[in-house]
Formats: sequence, structure tokens, C-alpha cells
Amino acid sequence: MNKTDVCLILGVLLLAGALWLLWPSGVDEDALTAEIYVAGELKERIPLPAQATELEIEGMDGWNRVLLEPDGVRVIDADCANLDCVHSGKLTAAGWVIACLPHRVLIRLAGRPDGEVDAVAR
Amino acid sequence: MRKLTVSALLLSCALVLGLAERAIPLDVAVPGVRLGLPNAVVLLTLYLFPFGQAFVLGLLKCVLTALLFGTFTSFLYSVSGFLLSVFVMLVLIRLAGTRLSPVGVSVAGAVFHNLGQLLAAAMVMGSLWVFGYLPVLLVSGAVTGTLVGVAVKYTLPYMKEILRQNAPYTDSK
Repeated sequence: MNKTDVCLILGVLLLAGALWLLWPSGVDEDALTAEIYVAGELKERIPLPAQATELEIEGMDGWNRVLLEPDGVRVIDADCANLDCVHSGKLTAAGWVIACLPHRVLIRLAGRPDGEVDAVAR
Repeated sequence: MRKLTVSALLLSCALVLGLAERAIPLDVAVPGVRLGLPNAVVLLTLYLFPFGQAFVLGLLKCVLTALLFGTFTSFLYSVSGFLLSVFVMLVLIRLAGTRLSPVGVSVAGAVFHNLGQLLAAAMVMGSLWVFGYLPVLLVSGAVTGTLVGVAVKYTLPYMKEILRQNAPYTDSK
């Protein structure tokens, strides 16, 4: 392994670090809002409730069952084989997403509904 | 030895590695994170054979893996990742020569494989928010790419010797 290799690897790691720090995330921890997109369109925008609430999302070619809790959101069931979305765990901080690729469903946590800069491309 | 035999052996190695690596769970936060062992075969093929050989090998690996063990969705993502990474690795090998060892090429291949998958996901989902995964995928690409690259670096001389011993290569029996 020579110098160029090390430079490349370090460059990749630095880029990862920079992106991590610069990635737009929630502003206000107290008012997290769950945003659910299906095929790029915003379908639901729900502030995290005080009590755990279930929500069924109709994605493309299937459904996902989402659990909204006071401290986060996670997927508890879906009608696909892999259940990657369920294994993704729980979103508790803004900036992360849960994605269901076959159903084209995307769930993210945003800050206050009026304080967030939307950056969804079409 | 027949050329077809060599090609078939390489492809089956790639397929088996792709299946076996699923036994090693790396997807703690992000589903689908893998070691990328089949890329070792692709990379070796890039070093030892004309580009077309590696290109077809990778495509067939994607198709067969999806047919045997996966879904159309998984094929879509693996092929996007492969196409981007194989061209990047080709360019790096041709341009950098000895300045970049297989480790570096493999890291670039892994990173661009992940990037290709992410781009495909962004297009399918219709959203750029999936790029939130980019930092994690960059780091995992660097780590898995290094591991695979080291394996390729030390396997290459043995492969060359094996190929040398089995020359000449013919198209028929």
C-alpha cells in the first residue's frame, strides 16, 4: 500500500466526516416532525405525538406500518420479504431516513415544520 | 485450457462469494451493507484480462445473483453500483498504473459502487434525502474496499502464476 492509496482512503473518510457535519438536520429537538414521502411526494407530515400512534402507509406495490412515538419513528411491519425498513431501527434524530426501496417509501424526521429548508429534487 | 473454463470459474467464484458474504452481517444501521467480496473477483479480472471480460463477468454476476437469490429491485441496485464502480476502477488502473495499488482501486470501486446504488435509490424514491446515508456508505466503502483490496493485492501474483501455467488458452477443446 503506497502513499496514493493512503491519500485516497483518508480523502474518502474526510469527505464522509464533512458531509456528516454539514448534512441539514433538525433545528429544534422539541418539535420533531415525521415526514413520509412516497415516490418523492410528501404524503404525511406529522409532529411526533405524545402517545404512540400507528399509521399505515400505502407505498407503491405495498404497505408499511409505521409507529410514531414521542421520541421517534420506526417501521413495525411491511408486506415485503426483506423487511429492511423494520430492521433499520428507530429514527430519533433529524437528518436520518428510513427507506423502503420496493415501495418507494421514505421517512425522515425534520425540525419544526416552518423552520426547515426543503431540499427535495424532482 | 479453454477460455470458457476460465471465465466460468471466475464467475462461479464471484457468485459463491456473493452468497457466502451474506453470512457476515455488517448492516447494523444501514441495510444491505456488505463486504463486497465478489468485487475482488471483478478487480482481479480487470488486472489480468481485457476489460470486456471483467465487464461481462460483473453483469452476469448481477443477473445470476438476482435470479437465484434476489429480486428485481436488488438487481437494479447491484447493477447500478457495478456499472459505476467497474468503469471507475478501469480508469484508475489505466491512468494511475503503479502509483495506485489494488487497495486504492478497490476502495474507489467500493465507494463508487455504493454511490451508484445511492443514485439509483434517489431516482427510484424520487428524493435526494437518501443521500443522508452517504457518509456511512463512504466509510463502509473505505473499510470494505481496503479489506478486499488487500486480498486482491496478495492474490494477484498467484493468479498470474496459475494463468501462466495453464496457457495456452483456446476457444475450443
